[in-house]
Parts: sequence; structure tokens; C-alpha cells
Amino acid sequence: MNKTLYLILILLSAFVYSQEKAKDSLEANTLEEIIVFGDNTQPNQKQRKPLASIDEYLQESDKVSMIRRGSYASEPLINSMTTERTLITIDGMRIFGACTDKMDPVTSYVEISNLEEANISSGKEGACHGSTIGGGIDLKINGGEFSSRGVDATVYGGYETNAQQKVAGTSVGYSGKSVYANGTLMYRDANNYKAGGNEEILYSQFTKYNLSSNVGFLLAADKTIEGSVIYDKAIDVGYPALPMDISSATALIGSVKFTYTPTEKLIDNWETKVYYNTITHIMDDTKRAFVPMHMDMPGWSDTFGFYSKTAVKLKKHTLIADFSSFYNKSLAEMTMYPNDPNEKSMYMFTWPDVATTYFAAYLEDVFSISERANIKVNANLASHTNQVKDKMGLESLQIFYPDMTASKARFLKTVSASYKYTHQGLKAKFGLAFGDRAPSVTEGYGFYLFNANDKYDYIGCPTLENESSLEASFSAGYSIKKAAVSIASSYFKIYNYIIGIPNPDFIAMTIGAKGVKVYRALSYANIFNAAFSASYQIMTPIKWKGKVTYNYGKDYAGENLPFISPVSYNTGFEVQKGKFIGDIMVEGNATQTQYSIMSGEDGTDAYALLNASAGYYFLFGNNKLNIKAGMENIFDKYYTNFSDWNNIPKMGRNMFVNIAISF
Amino acid sequence: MDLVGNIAKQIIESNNNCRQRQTDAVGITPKKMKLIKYIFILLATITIGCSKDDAPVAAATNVLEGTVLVAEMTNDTHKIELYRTSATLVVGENKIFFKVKDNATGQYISDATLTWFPVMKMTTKTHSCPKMPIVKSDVDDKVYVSTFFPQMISSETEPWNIKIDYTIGETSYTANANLAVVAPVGKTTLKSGIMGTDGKKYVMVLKQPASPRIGVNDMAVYLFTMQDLMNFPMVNGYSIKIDPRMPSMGNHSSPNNVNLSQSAAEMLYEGKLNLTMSGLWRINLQLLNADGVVVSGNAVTEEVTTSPLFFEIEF
Repeated sequence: MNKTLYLILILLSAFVYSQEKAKDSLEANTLEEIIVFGDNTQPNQKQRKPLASIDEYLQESDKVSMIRRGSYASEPLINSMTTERTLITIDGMRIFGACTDKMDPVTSYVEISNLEEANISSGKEGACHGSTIGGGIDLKINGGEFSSRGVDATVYGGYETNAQQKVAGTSVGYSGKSVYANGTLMYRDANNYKAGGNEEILYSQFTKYNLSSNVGFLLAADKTIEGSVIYDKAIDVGYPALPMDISSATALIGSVKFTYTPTEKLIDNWETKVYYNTITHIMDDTKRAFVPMHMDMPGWSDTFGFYSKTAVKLKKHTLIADFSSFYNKSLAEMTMYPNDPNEKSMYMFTWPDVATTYFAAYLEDVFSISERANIKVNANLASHTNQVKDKMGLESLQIFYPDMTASKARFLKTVSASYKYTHQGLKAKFGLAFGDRAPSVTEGYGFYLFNANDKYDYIGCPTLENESSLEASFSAGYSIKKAAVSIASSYFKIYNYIIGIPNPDFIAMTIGAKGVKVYRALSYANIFNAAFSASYQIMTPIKWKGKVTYNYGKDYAGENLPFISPVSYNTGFEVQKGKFIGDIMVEGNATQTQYSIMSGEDGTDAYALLNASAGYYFLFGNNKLNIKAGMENIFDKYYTNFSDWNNIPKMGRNMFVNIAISF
Repeated sequence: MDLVGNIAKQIIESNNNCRQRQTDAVGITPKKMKLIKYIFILLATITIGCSKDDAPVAAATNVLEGTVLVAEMTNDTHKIELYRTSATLVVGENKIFFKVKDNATGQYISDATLTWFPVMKMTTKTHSCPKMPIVKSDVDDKVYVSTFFPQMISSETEPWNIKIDYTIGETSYTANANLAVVAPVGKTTLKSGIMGTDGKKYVMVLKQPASPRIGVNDMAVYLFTMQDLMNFPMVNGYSIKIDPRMPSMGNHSSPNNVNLSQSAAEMLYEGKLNLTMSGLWRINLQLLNADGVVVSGNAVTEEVTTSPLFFEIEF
């Protein structure tokens, strides 16, 4: 809107940026970030909007952007890379979405009430849970602790005006010396949201229920056993960027963990976990005004796995060894109903029942050179086998690949080393890594999967080479009493970069599609990003913070890669005095000049938004009442950014109030 | 005859009892039981001969297993039995098994030479259809086999008639019968009256895929030409281009299909048909003569969405 106004605000603004665990974050950025959702049983009150969705929390990170297809269930991008190249785990458990159109990233199957924090690692740092190139997000479950706190409970509720979103939930926990137990219940419901200028975005509603429970037993002073279960069900979720919505998405995530923490032995900690998760995802096109052909598209993903991880402290070495394995089966199908009722319905496999078996051994050593410096080296070796279980599914793909066998085994490796130096206010880290990843189920075995962004049907290629990447990263930060600055940067050179390439000989299946793309490998692609942030404590209650990020991505031929963010910035003021906390912030993007026409992108305009919030808490004996209220996109700007699938606009002005009462 | 029938019945019933008791008997394994049962049946057929008044499922030999009697032709000397895997004759491919029985002795003849003439007696004209010569079965020398491809359904006033001329030794005989030909259940597998740009008329019959499935299917087609009303010889040396499409899915097509060609003269035209999903498919065809010139059908494009020459498959 008013450029001068923004300029003034930028100079005088600050924003809340809860990045580190409970500590006031004057420390510099590192390659590992932690985003706190809450502690024990209540949502994170330091967040501007404590009852925000996981997507909104994760966007706080430099490294993470979210691809939006609707108002819910956005796909995280880490270092400009999509979920094929990254690893999203829940407490170390591998879990895979069941939707061929990526309507259900793993983050959509949990709620903030289930989680304590998100550990975001960039690049190969995330390799302890699996083979990755871009990085990983490990969503740590809000477990419990053994203490004599007894019973505590929180009730929370929130309301947002833009989509009339209602949030309500409760957590109850018992904490005892040798046993703990807790349970949470959360409900979210929203209608269609409105973009700037009061434009209603149809088919953007959603309703979600989530239940979770954790139980722990102290078997001995150094042995514990813990069980955890999450049940998440979303119904009637709309995806305005896509031609279909979902009627239901259900996940059941369970695990049992055994921990051994001896005090006198060499082993510092030994954790073993066994887990199982099952996801059912049902797409639905019956709510749309016009559909060329009605179709049912259900998907199922089941994963069973375990890991056993031990940490050993030996003189100056801190060693971690982790052996893990998982087995996943992914199946998705499509039944199409022709307009002529006398004609038979059409059936095909879109994911031909692919089973993935994975075994990995991970070793890490942090060697303390001195008080100030350490070197961390880690390596991960894994065997990854895909097998097409269904004969009909295999025969469909054999139309394209007559010599294809049902099974393909791959060998994956990751090696990384980093050097870290800390001295007084200075922190620096330099790292190098090399590793590979296997193609995803869609990239290897997808069958006529429609991409609504570029309007092509995609066919997988089972014989794709593993993608491998060489990575260099650097971060440095300097902080003194009142001020801090930091810079973090990563460079990736990705070999055998997997992307869909149009094949003019093939004819699309989806009515209205432009053609067929087959997943192929480009010889290499380069991705680079850099983030610069600073903060200054102006006076005791007021702090200023600012950040600018830059991203670059081009393939070997100089063509732009998709999902490369334009320059983005945010800056603002945070006030914290006694029981009061408030902030005002400006965030924005520059015009997108790096976009991929081949992937259906067309560039987005520059924009800037103004957000503000305030919070206060009351104490009644041991009970606490926390209130937060605020306004986002105060000027009701109509805007869309590089990661909005199909250019769907983002929310216009939105007012929210979040209340939490803890007993 | 009744006595014979009773004895046969008793043997078959005792076999059934054997089967029931086979779990109790230790010495006789199921395999041995099966062998004993077959020996009995074979003996029964050879020595006694089974002729029953009602039209039975011929349990006599393996060749006729699963077939039913569809017609009988009687003359003074013989009775010719026609068997088929289904009780009705349909427009398209019909494989027929023949048995010639001597009326006097009741025996089946194994050294006859048969030729047949299936014709349709229409009001305005009489015409035949493509057919194969009748040959002896390699499994059972009392069974004769052939195939014919009627192009139209019959009616009360316009029936199909099969005449069989046969010789046994030096003597010639003849027999005939009217048969009904009905429309097939499902999509038609025969295209007749194909007018080629070369002035010739063609008949095509789809033999494979008989049970289509998702994936790569073997496709096989018979190609005949109408020489005159009575003669429909096979055509050799042509080729058939296939372009399978799904009309309900925006004319979606599958890739990597293999056009149909003959491996040798007088054989089927064979290729590969790829079906990416179940549902209704239209296999658009182009018929090319020995010089590679298109004599029927056209290619499918954005504007021209079908060929007039096609087969439909729905599964």
C-alpha cells in the first residue's frame, strides 16, 4: 500500500521469532533449528498465534516454505526442495502420505497438541532418520515426564474471523514418580476463507479432529518404557488449487519406546522404538460445480518400522550409532464413472501397490577439539528395495517398460562432516556433505498422476538412478549484549536431478490435460540459499528483529527450477514487559523473476504485509489464563506467492483470539 | 440299450462312492483313484457306447469336455452331431466339433472326410461366410473340428443352414440342418462388409484378447475377403494398424502398441494391445494392403477422433 509508511515501519519494527527452546534468542542461526509448539500440555504462548496450525509454525523457519494447495495440509519445502528430497518424521518414525496428489503431507496428520517441537535440520544433517538431500523435519511428540507434579490440565479455544475458524481442545496429564499419562483432544473447523478484497475462495473449508495419548512407566531408575498413540481424522477438506477435495483423511500413529540411560556405564543413552502407522486418504469430487468425469480416488499407506539408537561418550568423542528399518506399502487407485450409465466404469492403479523395505546403519561422532571447537562426522549406509506387489499394477507399468521387473534394490550412502567454533559471542559452522536418495513411489511407479499446476499427467520411471548431492554449508553469528547478527548459507549440487520431462508420443489420460510427462533425470542442478538476520534490544522491553533470505535454483542448462523463492524479508518489533507480550511486524516478498515455465509457474508480484498481536496472562493461584489476540494482513492485501499451487491467493485480513487456561 | 445305460450308471455311481471313501482308504491315493476312474469311463465308452436320449454334456472324451450339443443332422444312414462350448451360435468365431454316428451300428465313424457349406438363406439371396476346412481332431479320431464365422443373425424366415458333404471310403453322403445364429453378449467381434478403397470387400474377426486385462495383451485378428457370395478366403500379406482409444476419457490412448501382421500365410494377424485401465476401449483400425496402401480406416487425430473401422472392448 503506502510505500513510505512501510519504509518507516521497517526502520522501527520488530517481530517475535521463537526459535530456541525457552531461551531468549539472541543467538545466531545455525543449521539446526528448533520450533517449539508447546510444553507438556499447553500450546506455545510465546508464538504470536499459539493455536496456529503446524504449517504456520513451520513457516517461521528460514529453511522452510510451504506449498499451499488449500487452507490446510501444505507441503513443506526445505532448502527449496519438495518432500521427495526431504525427510519428514514424527519422533524418528518414518511415515508416508497416501495421496498421489500430495494433498496429505505428513504434517497434516498431527496437531500442535501432539507435538512439543519441530527439529529442522538442513541438508544431510537430517540423515540420522533416513536418506535425504534437502534436509528434514522431525516432529517430536509431546510425551510426558516423571515428576511429582500430579495432575494438570489445559483447556484452550480460539477463533479467527477470516474463515470463521474455530479451534478447541483440551489436554489432561498426570505426572507421577514412576508413571505418567496424558491425553489430548483437539478440534478445528473452518469455512471458506477470503482473500484480500473480500474474495471468497471456494472449496477451502476443512474440519479436523485429533486425539492422542502418551503413557510412560519407570521400570527402574535407568529404564523407562513409553507408549504413544495419535489418531487424526480430517473430513470435508477442500483444496481450491486442485480439481478435487477429500472426504476423509485418517491416520493412526502408534509407537512403543524403551529407553535405557545408565549413569555409570559407557553408554550414555540407548533408545529403541517400534512403531506402526496407517493412513487412509479418500478424495472426493462431488462438491465441485463442474467435473468432466466423476471419479473415486482412494489411497492407503502403511508403515511398520523400528530403530535402535545408542549414544556413547568416550573421552572427547560423543558417538551415536543408530540402526533403523521400515517397511511401507503404498497403494492408490482410481475408478472413473463415464457419463453414459450403460458403459462400464473404468479402473486403474495410480500407485501400483509398491512396497518399500529399508535398512540403515548410521554412525556419528562429535569430537571435541577444545572447549571452543568440535568436528562432527556422520555416515549413513542404507539398503532400499522397492517391489510392485500387485500383478495388475506391474502389468500396467510394463506397457511403458516391458522389461521392468517387480523388484529393484538400491544402495544409499551419506557422508558428512562439519566444523563448529564457538567463542564468547561468535559462533561459526562450516560443513561438507555428500549423499543420495532413492526416487519416491510417485517418481518410480506413478501411473498417469495429474499435476494441477502444470496440467500434465506424470508417469514414473522404475529404473531412475539415485539422485545424489554434494553440499556445502556455512553459518556464522555474532552476538553481544544487545545485538546479534547472523548469516547462514547452503549450496547443493544435485546429480541425476529427477523431474518430469514432456513426452510428445504419449497421450494424456486426464480430461483436459496438456500431455504426459515422464520422470527423467537431468545431469545436474544447482540450488543455493542464504539468510541474513539481525536483532537489537533497543531498550529492556523492546527488541527489533529483521531477516532477509535469498534463493537460487537452476538446472544444468540454465533453466530455472520450480519452487525457488524470490527475495523475502521480515522485520518488526517485539515488546515484552511483565505479563504483557506484543509485536508488530512487516513481512514481504520481492517480485519473482526466477520461475519455471515448464513446471507451470508464471511468476508472482511483490507484496508486503503488516501483522500485529498482543497477549496477556492472568494468574489465579496455580492456574493461569493466557489470552492472545491479533490481526494478520492488516491492510487486507490480495496476494499470492511462489509456493501457492495454481496461484491461489492467500488470506486477506484476519483477526484472531486464542485463549488457554491451564490448571 | 437300457441295460447298457444302467451298467454305465452303476460304474459312474460306484466311482463317486470311491471318491467319497478315498479319505478312509489308506492304500489308494487320490491320484490312483482318478486314474482308475478314467480307465472305467474309457472302458465304458469303448465297449458299451453311451447314447442317451437327452442331449448330454459329452463326458465321453476330453476334446468335447465343456461342450454342448448344438445341432444334429440326420439322414438315412448317419447322424452328425455338432458341439460347441456354448449352446448358441453367435455372430463371430464359432468353433464346432463334429461326430458322425452310424445309425445302424451306433458307432462313431473315424475315417470320414467332411466338407461343409454354411449358408444363410436370405429372401433375396443366399450367401456363405468365412470358414475353415473340417479336419480330424488330433486328440480323438472320432471327433472332427472346424470354425466358421457367420456375419449376421438369423431369423425365422432367414435361417442359417449348414450342409455337410462327407465320404466314408468310396461312398458319398450329405446332411444338413438349420441353425440359429444370435448376436453375441457384449461387444461384437466381427466386422463384415468392409468396403476397401480397392473395390474389395473384407471381413475381420477379433480373436484375441478374449479376456482383456490391464497391461500388455496379445491381439489377434482374422482377415478374410469376399471373393463372391459363397467364397471368403483368408487374405495374406496385409497389415493392420491399431490405435486404441477411450472415447469417454478424452480419447486417451495407450503407448507402445504393436501393429498387427502375419507371421506366415493363412495365419492370424498378431500384435500387442496395451490397455492402461479397465472400461470401454475403441480399437481404431487401418487396413493396409500388401503394398502398404490404406484400403480401409483412417488415423485418429485431434480433429478426426475415430476411424470408421474399429472393434470395441469393454471389461
